[in-house]
Amino acid sequence: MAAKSAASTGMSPLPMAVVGLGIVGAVLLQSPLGRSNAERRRNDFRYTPDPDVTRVLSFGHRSTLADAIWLRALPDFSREFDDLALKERWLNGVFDVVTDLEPSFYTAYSYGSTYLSLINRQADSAISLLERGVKTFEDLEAEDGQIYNGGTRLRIDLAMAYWMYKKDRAKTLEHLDIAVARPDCDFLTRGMRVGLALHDRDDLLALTFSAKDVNHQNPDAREKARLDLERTKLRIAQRCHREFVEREGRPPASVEELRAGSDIDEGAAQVVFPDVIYDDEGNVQVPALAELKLRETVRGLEWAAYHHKQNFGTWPKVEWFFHREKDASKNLEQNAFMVIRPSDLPAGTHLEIDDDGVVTVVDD
Amino acid sequence: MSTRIAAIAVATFKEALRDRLLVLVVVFAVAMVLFSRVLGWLSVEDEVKMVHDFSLTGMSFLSLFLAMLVGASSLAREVERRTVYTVLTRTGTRTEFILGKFVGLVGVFWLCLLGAGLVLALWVLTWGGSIGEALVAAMIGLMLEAIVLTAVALFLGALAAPAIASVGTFAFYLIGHGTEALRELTDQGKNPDFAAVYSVLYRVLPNLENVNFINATTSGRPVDWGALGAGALYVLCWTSVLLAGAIILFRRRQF
Repeated sequence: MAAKSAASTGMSPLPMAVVGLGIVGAVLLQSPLGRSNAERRRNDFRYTPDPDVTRVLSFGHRSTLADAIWLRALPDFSREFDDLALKERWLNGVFDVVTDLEPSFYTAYSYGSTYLSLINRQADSAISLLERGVKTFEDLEAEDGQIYNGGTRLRIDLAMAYWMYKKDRAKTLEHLDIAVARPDCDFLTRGMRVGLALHDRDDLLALTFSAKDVNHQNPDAREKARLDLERTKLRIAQRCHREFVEREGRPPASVEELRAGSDIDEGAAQVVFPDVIYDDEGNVQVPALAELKLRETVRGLEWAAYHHKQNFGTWPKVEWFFHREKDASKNLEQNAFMVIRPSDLPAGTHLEIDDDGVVTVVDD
Repeated sequence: MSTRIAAIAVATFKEALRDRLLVLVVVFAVAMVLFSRVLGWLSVEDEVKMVHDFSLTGMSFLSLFLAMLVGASSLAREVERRTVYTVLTRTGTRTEFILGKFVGLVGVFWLCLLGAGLVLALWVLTWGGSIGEALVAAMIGLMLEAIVLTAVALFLGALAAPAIASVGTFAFYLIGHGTEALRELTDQGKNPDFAAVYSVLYRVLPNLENVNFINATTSGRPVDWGALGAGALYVLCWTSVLLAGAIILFRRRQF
């Protein structure tokens, strides 16, 4: 009866059993074969095609082929190689072919150099890749007459690579000076250049870099530049104060005495000292700085609130700004953008946020 | 004459829209656009770049497959179904028939490209990208490429069996997109003998890179609209030659 039923449905037991056994066999074999595959891949030869040939074989879709080779190479970056020389050759081959197919592939230069220097300990290869990227963007800019942000970012990466891996201060400064002169240079990099100038006691240069965007058309950039400028003034004044105390064995009685006793460029002194005071505890202060810092904090909070709105659809409550999860993974879902402490606010004030996400500091 | 061409074009358009192969190819292109986001996730950054690159390449393949699968067999199908006799025994000439088929097929291919382009635009906007002039230029380039591929498919369809016409269209696409890279390769002076030969071949071979603006989409480089305009003229030249060839071949054909 059962056989008749199976026959009537066209499913005889033997083929069904073969199908079932085949599936079970394939499933059981997959694990040992997977291990064997991994072991084989560990030592196999990784072929990267010659850039010239790849260009022809891309059949016009260079950018897409560069993406495809890049995506194919990414998982292999973290795979172990027994032969490190082979890995080095393979890595250089991948970066060559990807950047040849798409010379403006910023990530290939940036991620590639980070990987080479930090993980593979090949600082020279990393610097060489970055120099190639910088040159490429220089050529593109000369050709197109426009600034590419990738060029600025690679220049900064190159300066940092010279600083971290070669301890080459001259090369670092050479590339940093070019980067900070560009309109799309970030404030962090400019801050580093200012720090190096202050370290070299080149106060006027530090003030010049800090003040670069004080007349910027973007009000946020103007504010940030003003904040950096006031910070630089404070750092110069604090250094003068420290040196005065070391030399005289006592703090100066006034700002005028501090200025008179400071070994500082006269041009820099004219910018710094008019904005400096001593507070009641005898500490050097730049009064404008506190207000600027608070405004920067508020801007950061509004930015965090914007991301909250983007992610969760609502503006956050004020408490959210003070909240940080101990668990880092939860923190990403919570406030990972800008967390402040109550002590960051002036005494007797609190925060409010309105229905448009505007954050204000108001008196209690 | 233009009324008869329009009538044939409309009939071709409607017939092609009913073709299941067309649906299959369009589904492939849209799937490639949507799947490009997954590739973006696999990347370190550049999610939107991946979406742009793979989607536009998918749309270029869409043009190719449409020309190979729908365009190349278009004439043969008319002969096989004997509908060509109906048209030609009435008032239509063979020239009008080829031109009508061409206009109808280009209309369908453009519709498919615009549909896929719309999906791409929505997809890019969904993932935080923007629709810049580079993307528009790339789309125009793809539509120009579709024109010349349709003309090739019709020319080869008038010359040979559909399978051979499909393979020929595919070869034209590969040659058209390889011409420029080969020139760069020969310019490096590695093989001077071949370079001398190729400098002649370069002018004769089709060059679809003249209308390929896909690579510029993600680099942020300004669009050279003058070059795109010149590319459009270049496409016009090749299309004229291929259509004239198709008409000559079709006129000589014995049914």
